Order: sequence, then C-alpha cells, then structure tokens
Amino acid sequence: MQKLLVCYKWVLDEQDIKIAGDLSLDTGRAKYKISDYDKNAIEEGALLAEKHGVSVEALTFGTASVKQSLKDALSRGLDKVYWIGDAASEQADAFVTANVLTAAIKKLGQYDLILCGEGSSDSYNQQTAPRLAALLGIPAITFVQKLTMADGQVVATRKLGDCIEEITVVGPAVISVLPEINKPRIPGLKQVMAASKKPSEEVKISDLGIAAEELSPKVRSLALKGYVMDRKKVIFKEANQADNVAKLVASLAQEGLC
Amino acid sequence: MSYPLTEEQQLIQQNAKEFALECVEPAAAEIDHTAAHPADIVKKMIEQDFLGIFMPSEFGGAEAGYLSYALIIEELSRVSGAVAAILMNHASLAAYSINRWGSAEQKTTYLSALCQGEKLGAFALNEPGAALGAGEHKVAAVKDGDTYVLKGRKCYVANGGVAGVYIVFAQTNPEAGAKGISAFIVDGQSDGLSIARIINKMGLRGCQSAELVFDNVKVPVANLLGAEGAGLAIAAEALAATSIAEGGMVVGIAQAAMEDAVKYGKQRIQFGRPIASFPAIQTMLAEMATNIHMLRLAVYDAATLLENGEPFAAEAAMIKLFAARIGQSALIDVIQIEGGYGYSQEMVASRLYRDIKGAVIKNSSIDFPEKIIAGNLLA
Repeated sequence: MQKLLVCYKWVLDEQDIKIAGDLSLDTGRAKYKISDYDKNAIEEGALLAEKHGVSVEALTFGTASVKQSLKDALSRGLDKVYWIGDAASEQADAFVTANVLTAAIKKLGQYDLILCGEGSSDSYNQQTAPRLAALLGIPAITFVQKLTMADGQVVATRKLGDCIEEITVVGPAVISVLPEINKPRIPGLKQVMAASKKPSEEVKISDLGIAAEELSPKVRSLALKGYVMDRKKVIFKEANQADNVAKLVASLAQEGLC
Repeated sequence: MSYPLTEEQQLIQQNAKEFALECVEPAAAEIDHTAAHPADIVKKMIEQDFLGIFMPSEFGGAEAGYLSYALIIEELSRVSGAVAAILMNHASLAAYSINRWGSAEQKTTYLSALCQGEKLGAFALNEPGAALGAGEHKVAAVKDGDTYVLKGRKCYVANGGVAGVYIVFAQTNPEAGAKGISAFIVDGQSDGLSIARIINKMGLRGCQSAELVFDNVKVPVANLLGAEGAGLAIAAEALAATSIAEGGMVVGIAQAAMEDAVKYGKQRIQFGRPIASFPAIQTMLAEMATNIHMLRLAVYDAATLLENGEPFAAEAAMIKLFAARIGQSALIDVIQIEGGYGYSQEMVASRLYRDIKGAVIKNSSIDFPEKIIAGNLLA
C-alpha cells in the first residue's frame, strides 16, 4: 500500500442554521465546514499515512466555495488536496457525486485505498462510498470502526447491528468509516501555518469527460424544512408525589412508551 | 462580524474554540473551585503550539501572528479566564519581552524553552507599595563581577511558583529612580528564589499568583534583558501588548456571560412571558452586545497594528480604558438579568464576574491609560 485517498464533503455547519417560525431554514449566517464524518476519514487516512509512511491525498467536490476548505483539510495531515468547485454540485445527489468523484479518481491515477465518511453530516445518504466502489469496480467495505494495515493488506472491523465482522482486503478498495473509528485531531498552530505551503490542485469537471446525463441528479429536493419537536407540556400537580409518579407511568403507557 | 480575518486566522479561531470546549470547559468550574494550576491543560496547550504562538519559528514558535494570539485568548476566556491568563502571562509578557529585547543567546536558551513549553514564563514586576512609573521599586540588583545579585520581594506574580523563567524588574541604579530599573531573565530554579505565599484570589483562580522572595539570587550578567536602565521601557511595551490580550480576555468572558443571559432570558417566564421580551432586559442585552462588538473590533485592530510593526501604545491604552468600563458592567447586567440564579454559584455568571474583574485590573499599564491616550494626541 503506497497511496491513500480521502473523499470529503464541504457542508453547511448545522449549528449555524436557524429555523424560522414557518419552519423554513435560514442559512444566511451559516458557515461551511468539513463534514464531521469525513473528518474521521481524513484522520484515519492521516494516521495510516503517519504510521506506515505512505502518501495520503484528498479529493472534494462542491461549489466554488469548496476552495475555502483546502487549508483546513491540509492542516489535518494530508499531503495534497484535489478540489472540484462547480455549480453542478448544488443539486448533486449521490449519483452525480459518485460519477464526478469516479471520473476524477480515474484521471488522478491509482489509489490503494479510498476512504470516505459513512455519510455526510448534511444529507447522510450513505451512498457515495458504495456507488464509488461500484463505478470503479473495486470492493466496498462499509461501517468500518477499526482499520489496520499490514503486509500489503487491510484488516477492517465492521460494525453490523449486534455483530462485528472482521474482513481482510487487498487494495484497491473503498472504505467508509464510522465516527467511532477515531477522534479527529484539532490541528495545532504549526499544522495550520504549514497547510499554506502544501499543494492543492483544481480539477475541472469539463476536463473529466463526464456525459451530461451523469451530471443530472436522479433525486431532486422539493423542499427542506426544519423540524421542531412539540412538547406535550403536561404537568402532574397531585399533592402526593406517588400519585404523580403513577399518573406519569400511566401516561407513558398510554403513549406506548412503557 | 466581518472583520477581515485571513483563512489561517479563521482556522485558528475555529480550532481554538473546539479546543476550549473540548479540553478546557469540562474542567473550568473545578479549576475555579480548587484554584490549582491546571498542568494537564497546559500540556494540551503545548501540543496545540499555543505557547509559542506568535514567536519566530527559528525558536520553535508557530509564527501565527498577534491577532491569532488574541483570538485564542478570546476563545479560551469564554470558558476559563484562568487558563487564558496562564497563557497570557507566559506569552505576551515573558516570551514577548525576550523575543523583543533578548540577545541571540538569550533567545536560543530561554525563548526556545518557552515556545516549546519546556518552561512557563512569568513577569515579576509588582512590589508592595511601589508604583512602576514612579521609580519606587525596592528589589535591588547589585553588580558583583559577572553576576547581578537580586534581593527583595515581588508580589502578585502570575504563574509564580509554576514558571521556569521569570522576567524580573530590579533597581540597578536607585538614584536614577524609574530610569534605574533593569530587566533580568531569571531561572525559576535559581538558588535563593523562593515562594513566600500563594495569593488566594477572588477570580482567575488556577492562574497561580505568588509572592516571590529574592534572597541574594545570583543572575549572570548575560541575563540582563536589554540595557541597564531599560526596564521601564520594556515593561511599558510588554504591558501595552498585554493590554490587547486582556481586551480579548474581556471580550471572551463578556461574550460567554451575554450568551448565558440570552439563554436564561428566553427560558425564564415572568408575568406569562419570557423575560427576554421585556424592554428593560433587551436594553441591557443590546448595550452589552454593542460594547462587546466595539471592544472586539478594537482588540483585532490593535493586534493587527502590533503584528504589522506599527505603533500600538495608544490603541492598547484605549482597550485598557474601554475594557475596564464595559467588562464589569456587562457582568453586573448579566447577573441582574439572571437574578437570584445568576448570584448563585450554580450558574456560571458568578465565576465570570469574578474573572472579568481580574481581567480588567490584572496588569497595570505603565501609566493611567487616559494619560497615554492624551499624550499621544498632544504630542
């Protein structure tokens, strides 16, 4: 194993999104960030690279603003970032995203491992990694909570409901990681300052030879609304606490909660 | 706000916020309660390169600039004024002074150790009953061959007892008054240097303040910082630089308090509606938001001036003056909004109140800030 690639998404920070009275989303003051789960993928790539002395690069596809992600990504232990900033990403679903990433990876060359987060922290479709593997014709290993590299192969521990599966794969392969696989670093000041000196390269969609239908999303978002959980605002006011407890239990039972 | 931060500064701010919330906030109340020096958090700050933040890379610094430093102080102060104060005394007083006036040898020996976190820095300036600009300092440094012998007491030395490097101000020429004060780099392990007592402070607890005793401490002549008699000028500039960081500290503490008051004001129901809907509460919130915004802009501006090598003494004095006016009043209003809850130790406001008081009185400037500002106007 000599070359790793991490795919990451540049998303709106959900903490900055405000929900208006009509449940519409106000993103006017929202900043962008690297998707939380993708930070786990970057961290895993960086840890493997640091431990085994291999190179780790990244690829991202977003709007023109994705360029703002480069220094953050590079401060997290990556050697280089390739970025695709194109309006096509605005309506892109997993189908389009995987098509674009696949075309870019084919252009960039051979990678032994391609790491992704299990899902993005905005839409969390969990489709990009499996689609990427299918399009590249290589194995997809999902729900990975532990990853080790030895003797040219990778041992991945997958978390599947109530059971754990351990599998071995010889690259190339696409691996999607769960958040518990690691704790992403908080880049130190020297890592941030060094990021400016690391290389990044723009990849243009027009240079990838992607057919128009491959850039046409299969899924269209009709509306995006906030969700507010209404409280029932029931207060039991019996003088005797035991009566309050009994009423609470009865109420929960009525709701089918106990 | 839209102050034009560079991409690096935005990242440093974002990472400092994450660090503060993840590594400092969980321990903040306990640090305040015990007043113990948080060595484990200092170790984590070393890992983040905070201790050499704006110092040159050739001495192990991160060379991230003074505005980045102010941003980090602000973010740390939002969760723990004590932790911010530890870094501030280390960086903008001790390390700043050696970086600014130290010889190549002094920088190699001491600045490198400070930048890499091998040693914490401290600034031993204050003495009981001595006003800095008046030349009333009694700690004497008498030259004896290739050493100076220091004798006397220093009080309110922040990081005192935990620092490995002290910048100590002492009289080398008592007849010259304020112009006879010199600055020395003193190793914390020097024979004759001891801690008389740890001061039990009202706020910024955990940033240990100590009274130091210098009992014929021998300091090599090579450890004289700058020239003999340059102590006053060194202290003046280091204190001005630190006023900028203190402004950042007041911004951070007041911002945290205001956010707490907003949250409380939305939740607390009186007369059938949240108290945040009352004009009296909104007036207080609007006043503090405006003041915090103005102070933040002033801090970023002065930090940029310093970073660019431009004069910053007047702007630093304005920060000192304005921070003192608005910092404490913001916390008084926050406690007023939160009422009995705000007054209790269970809410964070009482700690923030005690911390912000420390932030505005902590290090005196070389003179009254008004005098510095007016002097600049009338020069």
